[in-house]
Amino acid sequence: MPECIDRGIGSLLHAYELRALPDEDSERFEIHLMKCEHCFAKVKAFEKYAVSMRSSDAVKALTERAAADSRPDTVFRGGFRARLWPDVHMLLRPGLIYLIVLLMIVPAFYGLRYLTGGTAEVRPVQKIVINDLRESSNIFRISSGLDGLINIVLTRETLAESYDIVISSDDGKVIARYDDFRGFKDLGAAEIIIPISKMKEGIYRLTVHEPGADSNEAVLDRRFKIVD
Amino acid sequence: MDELLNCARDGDKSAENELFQRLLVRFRLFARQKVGGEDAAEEIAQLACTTVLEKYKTEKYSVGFEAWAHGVLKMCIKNYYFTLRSCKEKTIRAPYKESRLDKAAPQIDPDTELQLLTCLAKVFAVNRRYARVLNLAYQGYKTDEICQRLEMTRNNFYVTLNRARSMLWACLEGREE
Repeated sequence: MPECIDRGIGSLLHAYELRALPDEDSERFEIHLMKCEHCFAKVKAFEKYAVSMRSSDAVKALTERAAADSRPDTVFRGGFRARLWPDVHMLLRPGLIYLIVLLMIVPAFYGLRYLTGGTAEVRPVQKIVINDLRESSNIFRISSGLDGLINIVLTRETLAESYDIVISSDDGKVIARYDDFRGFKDLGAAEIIIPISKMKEGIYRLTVHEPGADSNEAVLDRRFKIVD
Repeated sequence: MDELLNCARDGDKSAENELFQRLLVRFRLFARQKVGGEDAAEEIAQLACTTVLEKYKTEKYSVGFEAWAHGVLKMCIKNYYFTLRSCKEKTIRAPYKESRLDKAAPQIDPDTELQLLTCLAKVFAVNRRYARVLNLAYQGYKTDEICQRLEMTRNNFYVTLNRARSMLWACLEGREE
């Protein structure tokens, strides 16, 4: 069916059918119907109902009762279910709208998570810096409840492609080992995390040496403490 | 309509027939709205169409063909009511004779009425304002008076009516299926 040729006048449609238009607007609308197939078809299709609406005593009585009802417009009567799923056209039911929104939330959540790089968590840490220039007091405290971050800095001019890093306890027992570690960035800095759950009190030794080199030829050999 | 009119004026008989069929169905609908009875509406529509047919080629109308043709129909309806009044005045003096020009009450189909009542009840349940508008329209109030009483703008009034009509129509169509 073609569209209405003049929506401004076309909006008078139902008012015309109910004879609620003043004479001049009614005449304007009828002249519009002479030209507009869309509106004429609608008026013609609704005509028998419009006649009943204008003439039926039963319809008038129903209308009067409904108009006199001072309760608020009620999709809200009849409980929660009636609010969500009232007896109206499917597309007008709030429950359907809520369902569509909920269904869209799930893919949106996973889509955003994917776009922002996964489930990586950012947590606070306690940090020490170990460099090859001088010893310094490096202490992790278990009571802080934070994971430990060791920031290793090598100040030499040229860096190897990879290093072996070993963390051992004071009695020589290897606690952690990173062979072929390639985490040193251009400025010679690297980071290693010690989770709080793995921390035990004591004095520890961190050595960095080139792969295959003797442990006595360490590029870096420093101690740090873990205290309670 | 303009194309049909131009072709009809140029002597195209089929265009002329189509043009007047279109006018006739519309005139019938408008006349039924005004006078109620099928017979009277048909008579008025035929008379108006005949008048338009006689004059459309020569008439110089400044307001547009549709407005002019509508004016012809309006005149025929006015004449109908004048005739009706004249008949009634005569019957005051003469013995009563039933006149076929009396305005007939519209025929209401019971099934249509039942469908309408059911669907109206549903629409009223979610749109009480529509019921109030309708109730005022039944009492004879027109657009501006209804807007004033319900404290709404004209635009709001038309939107309320058309939304309710859409819901009503959706319900009625569903039932008809």
